[in-house]
Amino acid sequence: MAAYNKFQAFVENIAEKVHNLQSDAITAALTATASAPVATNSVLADLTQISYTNLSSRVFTVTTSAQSSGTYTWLLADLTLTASGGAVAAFQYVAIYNDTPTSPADPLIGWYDYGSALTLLDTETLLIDFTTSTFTLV
Amino acid sequence: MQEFEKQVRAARGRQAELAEVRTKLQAALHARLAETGEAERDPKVIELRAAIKALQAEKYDLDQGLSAASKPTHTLSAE
Repeated sequence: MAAYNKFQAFVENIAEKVHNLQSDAITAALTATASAPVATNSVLADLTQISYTNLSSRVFTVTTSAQSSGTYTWLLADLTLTASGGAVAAFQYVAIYNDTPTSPADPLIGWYDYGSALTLLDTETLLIDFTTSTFTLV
Repeated sequence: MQEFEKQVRAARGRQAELAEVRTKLQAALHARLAETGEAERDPKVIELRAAIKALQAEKYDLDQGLSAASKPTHTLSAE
């Protein structure tokens, strides 16, 4: 299991109405082994992304954005990234950011470490499999 | 994932059914051809060929779908 790592700025952005986590365009950003995200990164421009040539859509669907008994749960639907027409550049980290806000632009939310560099060859897929929640707020 | 796996199982079941029906239709067609020798005009032969063609089309779509929906090559299990 890959642990959810939080970008520190995310909690402030929640408090300062940067995000609408129910309706905004939540997107995946991929970075190579040599460009690991760090918790102090705050916007997409802080990351060095790979080239997305030959890769399918990186936009998530929000499955759950709701509270129950005071605990907020945010869950993304599983997303399959598919290489089509050729291989995709190697990556190791999958970051999640919000593509909708403009100030700050493209704020980061969290990231996962695949554990090693991964190259998707033509027709290969990576399933990003979320379990019961992407994160909760209490 | 459970819903996805259920759909794949159902599609595989249908795929097996179609293969079985196709075998039976082809056996019937061969028997009819051997019996009559009037392949082009025999309505039964025409009917059997049309049925096999329709079945092949469904099986092709199913094969393509199953191929595309096959297990992911890699998985990142997000906690």
